[in-house]
This record gives sequence, structure tokens and C-alpha cells, in this order.
Amino acid sequence: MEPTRPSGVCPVEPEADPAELLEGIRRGDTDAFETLARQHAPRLFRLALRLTGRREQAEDLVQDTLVRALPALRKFEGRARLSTYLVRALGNLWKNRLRSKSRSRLVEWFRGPAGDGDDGTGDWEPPDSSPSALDRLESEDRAAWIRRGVARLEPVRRWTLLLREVEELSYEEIAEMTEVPVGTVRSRLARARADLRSILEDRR
Amino acid sequence: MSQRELDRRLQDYLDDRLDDREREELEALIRDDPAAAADLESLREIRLALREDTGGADALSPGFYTRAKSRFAESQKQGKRRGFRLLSWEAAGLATAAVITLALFMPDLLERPGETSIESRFETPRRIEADDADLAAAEAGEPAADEMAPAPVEAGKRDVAEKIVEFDAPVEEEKATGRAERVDRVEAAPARPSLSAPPPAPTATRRREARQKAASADAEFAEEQFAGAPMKKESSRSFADRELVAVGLPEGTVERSSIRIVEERTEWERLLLGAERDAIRSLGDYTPSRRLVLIGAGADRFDCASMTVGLTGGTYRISVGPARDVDGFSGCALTLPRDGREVVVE
Repeated sequence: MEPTRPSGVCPVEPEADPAELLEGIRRGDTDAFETLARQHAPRLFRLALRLTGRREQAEDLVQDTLVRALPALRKFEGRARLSTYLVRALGNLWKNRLRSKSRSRLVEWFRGPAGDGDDGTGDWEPPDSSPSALDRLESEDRAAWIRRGVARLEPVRRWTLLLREVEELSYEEIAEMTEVPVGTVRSRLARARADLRSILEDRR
Repeated sequence: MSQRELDRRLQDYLDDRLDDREREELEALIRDDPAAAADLESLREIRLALREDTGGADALSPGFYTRAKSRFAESQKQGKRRGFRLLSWEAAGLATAAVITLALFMPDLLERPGETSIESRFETPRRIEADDADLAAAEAGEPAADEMAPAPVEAGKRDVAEKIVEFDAPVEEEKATGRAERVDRVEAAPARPSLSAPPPAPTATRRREARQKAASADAEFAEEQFAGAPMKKESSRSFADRELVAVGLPEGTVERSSIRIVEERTEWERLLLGAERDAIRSLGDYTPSRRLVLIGAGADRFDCASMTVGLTGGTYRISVGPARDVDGFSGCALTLPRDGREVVVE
């Protein structure tokens, strides 16, 4: 006689070991890939969406990140490290896309200025300022306006701000990820917030 | 406090980077300054907007994971194809390297079982400069020696390449041990090889071709230069261009004041096992087109380097001077075309 399960209770599968999943991904196991993707994609997508301001671009960026970064990871060093690794990979891929999009203007963006860092002279990604886009923004609430406004920030500041506000990384963690001093992180955050507040004031 | 400084303080307050005293001071300022409070509120608003989970707006579209899986599977296929191509290139590279290695080393290893050190093959050989006549011959466009002459097998552990384009100076150590020493070997090379770089090693095929060419060249040389010509003594050096290599024989390997001609394979190969083996080996392996000539010295030891060979009336006339300023040998050995002509020592 088969054992019976209590009615109304879904069996809970034990969570797979990320290290084993990564090993499976390296072997080409698509199920292992999907399992890890489901764990990390939502968070990555939220970051990518604020980064790009466009769903399609954000989804493509997340897919690209997962497909390329997960098989490339040779050693699992904990969930937090894996998450940070994926965020870094996403940022690098986004940076590469920006560069290929407008190489001549954007090539120096992620290096940042010397010294204290941001002097505000960097080029901006062309904001989506078409009338239809503005019309759409007008009809949305203030939070949505802020989220869309982030996409108009200069990329270095945008990335730094999102690492702090979305990923909730510390200054030190951001400094490590972006390979700049902590003081530069602080400066970039201040400028990003000031720029965003200016955008918000323009709406008032 | 300037606006810039206030903004920085507000940011530090928001990000919890103020110590207790600074935080209390700023909170007091905010209570008294509505503008500062508004600034702080806008910063918090930004934070909330960015951290807010907007539900559907932040949700991945349906089919995202299916598309991602397909993309992953496709990337894996491409990766395997790339890997296969890389593997193919690696395999091709390894095969090429193996062929080159075999071509460079194996023939010599097979012919010289005593050779053990590959590094020894790249030791810079000692080189005796070719004389002006050799260089002139080379400039005149005569074939390179390694194409004309059979490559003699050097004794011991000498570099295989130097046997082709260079030769050793007398080795004191070898003299002391009674080992054979090559005393003369002249070859006309188009260009002098660099001392710093190992010269190219011959392959077995190349050696065979060289021997065949040499045999043919010897016959032609004999016909064209000697046969029917007036008495003419050719110096060993000029003859050596066709292949004249005279080597000194160790003590006791040849009777005094004698001449011995070896044409049979078995006898030739037997010499390769005796005390004179190094000398004979340096003259080359048995070949039906050539004969081995061993000459025993008389009262005076031979200066094998002074040997000359002439062809008069269908007779090879060998002349070799006594050793005076150099250590001589009890005998010399050389090879001549196996053309049936008589050989005499003058």
C-alpha cells in the first residue's frame, strides 16, 4: 500500500545545493540552470530595469548575465558571493553594451575622473525625451517618475546609486565592485541624488 | 553650513555613516530647518521608489525562464562546437609538433642509439671556418655540402647538425682515450650558419638523398675531372667538395704501411663494432656506391688532414704527409667511389 500524503499539503522539495547546481550548469544541465536562474533573476531584473529603464532591454540583460556568468563561475563561495558576482557581471555586460552603443563617447565612463572622482563632465546616455515617453511619464505616479528618472542619470552615477539603493551594498562594497575609492563612491552618490532631485523638481 | 556640506551630511545620515554626535547635531538641524527636512525627505523618497517592489511592473514577463533556458542550451551547443574546433586545432597542432619532432630527432636517435640527451643536440658546436676556396665555391653556386655529401655519423654525442655543415676541431680528451678524430672535412655551404643558433638537422630521407647524390657526383667527378686527363693532383679540399672525409684511426686498428679496401657490407659493419667504430661511423654507413679505404702509417704517423687524392690513368693516388707539428695517427681512413679503379698510396 502506497503511503498517503496529507491532503492539501504540497510536498516541499529540498533546496538544491548551489554548488551542485553550478556543477550541473557547467555540464550543460538546463534544469540546474533554470533552478539557479529562478533564484537570482527577479532581483537582477529589478536592478536591470532601473538601470535601463526598459523591460525588454532589462530582460535581455538578465538573460545574458545568467547564460554567460553562471557557467563561467568555477567555484561557489556562498550565496552572497554568488549574488554579488552576478550583479557585477550584469554591470559589466551593461557597460559593454553602452560602450558598443556609443563607443566614442562612453569609453571612459566607467573609469571615472581622477582624484575625487566624479566631476560631472562625463557624457550622458541620451535620455528618452520623446514626447510620447514624456507623456507616459506624466501619467505615472511619482515613484515611477523617480524610477524612470534614474535611467536618465549619467551611467556611472546611475550604477553607483542603484548598487546602493537597490542592491543595498555598503560604500565599501561598492568601492570594491567598481574599483574606486570609497570617497569616490560617496561623491558619485551625492551627485546622482542631486541630479535625481533636480529631475524631480523639474516635474513639480 | 553650506548647502553642499548639508547635502553631504544628509546623505551620510541617510546611509547611516554618521557617528552618534554628528547624527544628533544633524537631527537638531533638521528639526529647525524645514528645507533641510524636505531635502532629507526627497532622498528617502528616492530610496523608497527604487527599493519598492512594484509587483507586476517589476515581474519578469511570462516565458522568461523558457527563453533563458533555450538561450543557455544554445550557448552550450555553441560552446561545445567551439570546444570541438579548439580541440581539433589543438590536435592538429600536437600532430604537427610530433611530426616535426620526429623529423628532427628520431632519425638520429635511430641511427645513433648512444644519443641520450636532446639538449646536447643544441649545444653550440665548435666550428672551423671554411677556407676561402670553400666560400668561393659556395659563392659560385655549387650545391651545399649537405646536399652533395652523405652525412657522416659523428662519433659520440656530437650534434647531428654539425656533422652536416660543420665539424669538430680535434678533441684532446678524445685523443687521450684513443678515440677517432676527424681531421678534415670541408664543405661548401652557401652561408655560414650562426654559431648562436643550432643548424638544421637532417632527416633520414635527406641523408639518403645526399648519399645518392654524392655517389652520383663522385662518379661524374671521376669521369669528368680525372679520367683521361693529364696527371693532376687534386687537393683533398677540392675533392672533399664531392665528399672526401679523411679520419684518423686509433692505434692498432690498421697494420703499419698497409692499405685495406672494404667493399663488403659485413666487413664494413664489422668495423663499426671495433675500436675504429667512431672513425668509421663518421664516414657514414655502408653504401654500395662507395668503398672504405684504410691506410696504415709507416714509421711516421700520418697527418690525415694533409691527405690529397689524385686520379691518374684510372688510378686513385692517395698522398698523405707525415705528422710534424700535430699529433699524428697510426692510420687514416676515407671512402672513395666504388668504381673499380685501383687505389694506391704514394
